[in-house]
Amino acid sequence: MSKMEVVDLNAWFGTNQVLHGINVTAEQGSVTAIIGPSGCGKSTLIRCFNRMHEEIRGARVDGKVLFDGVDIYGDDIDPAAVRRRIGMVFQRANPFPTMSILNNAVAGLRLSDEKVSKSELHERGEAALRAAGLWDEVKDRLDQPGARLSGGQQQRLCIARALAVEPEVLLLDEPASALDPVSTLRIEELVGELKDRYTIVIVTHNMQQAARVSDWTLFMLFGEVVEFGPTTKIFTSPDDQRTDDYVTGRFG
Amino acid sequence: MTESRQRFHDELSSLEHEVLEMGELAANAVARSVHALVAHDSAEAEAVVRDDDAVDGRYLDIEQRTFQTLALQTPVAADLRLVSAIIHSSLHLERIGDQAVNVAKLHLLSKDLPGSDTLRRQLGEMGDLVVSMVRTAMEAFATRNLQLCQTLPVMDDPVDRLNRATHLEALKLADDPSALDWGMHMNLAARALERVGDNAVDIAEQVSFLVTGEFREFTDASHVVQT
Repeated sequence: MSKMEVVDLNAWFGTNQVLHGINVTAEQGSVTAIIGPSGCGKSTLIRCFNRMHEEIRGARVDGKVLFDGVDIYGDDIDPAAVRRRIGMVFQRANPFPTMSILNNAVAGLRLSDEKVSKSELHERGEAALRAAGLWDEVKDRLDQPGARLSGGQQQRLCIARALAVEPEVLLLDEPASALDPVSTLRIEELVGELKDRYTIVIVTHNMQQAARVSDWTLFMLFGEVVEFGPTTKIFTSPDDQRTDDYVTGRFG
Repeated sequence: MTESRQRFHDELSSLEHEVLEMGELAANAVARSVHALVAHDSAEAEAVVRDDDAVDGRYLDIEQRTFQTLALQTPVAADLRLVSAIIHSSLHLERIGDQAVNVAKLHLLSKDLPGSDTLRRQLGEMGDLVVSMVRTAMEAFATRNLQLCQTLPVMDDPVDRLNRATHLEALKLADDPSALDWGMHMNLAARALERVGDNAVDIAEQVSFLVTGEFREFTDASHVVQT
């Protein structure tokens, strides 16, 4: 069974339908990249993976998103519980600017209902910062505000914050688009390190990034899936001419 | 499409054009070398050896430009397959040019020895066949014609048969050491032409990959042939 499976998903903003009959799966221990030109619906799709889409006024969804076989849009499902198990990191690093580095890492834990002791908070903060590849760079200044970190470090801090609540799936919405090449590479390496333990879905504008980090690639156009397949196939011999035209830069 | 992407695709077209021109240069060199050998034209044979620099120059230019394209444009999908086909095909064509030089040199080395008209005729026939194979492979490249690609292994069969026949024909010269010496040179020339045919089949395989995205060998040489 796939870790996540999207079945006949449609999504709207008001009366404007932005996703049309999407079907896609994300396998445990793999990275799935979503690519496509601006406005094709890739960010909307990834936001449907953890019920973030419906947070926008007038936005709605129909179809199923199965997580371990259970529809996260089921009647008795709590969206907050979904988001704890399916974490998300956004395009712009958004640490709490005045909160310390350590407190940023464990912010999700503190806000949850879970009762966690101070020593356990520190432990889980350290584990998350280590997993995000940031520990060695910040261990001597955990009390400093998160905003003091560089852009790349701030983004890894946000990844640590997402990891601290111990999710099973990590959604990354253009996590490196605002970063310099070295920080970008660091995030890409991190994705490679994390994929054994998490199921990762990444939206990216950078096709070479999709080629480098992902095992599966989904190409979208006008809110529809054009092609979904192994990344090597998408970037060497895709089935659909539109995929070929897009990845070779003939449009988009 | 952005301007830089347009330039990239123009460069790919230009590279492909150069490979096609190189194909004609190489095919022509083979045709001239075989003609020199069959018609006893030493001046022509010397010209073939000299003119190989043009084929090698094309090869180096194509290699350098594709290398730059890979580094700067990171081609993918159909573009990547085209770059791959260009690199492989230009190398095969460079080898074909070298085989033409081999045939020409073998003629120059043996031109004063007594020979056999039958063997010369067989080599002439082989030359016509393999030149036609190279041109067919290049036409398949230019037109992305999969069916044409698949005719290459079929065209290669009579070349292989002739190659074996030249061997038997050379053995008939065993009584006269000078004629046998010539025959052994011609055996090597036949082998060179047989390799040209194989290189043409290899180019067709590259074209087939370019068109379909699936690589497969048309012929399997990794088994023992019963003769």
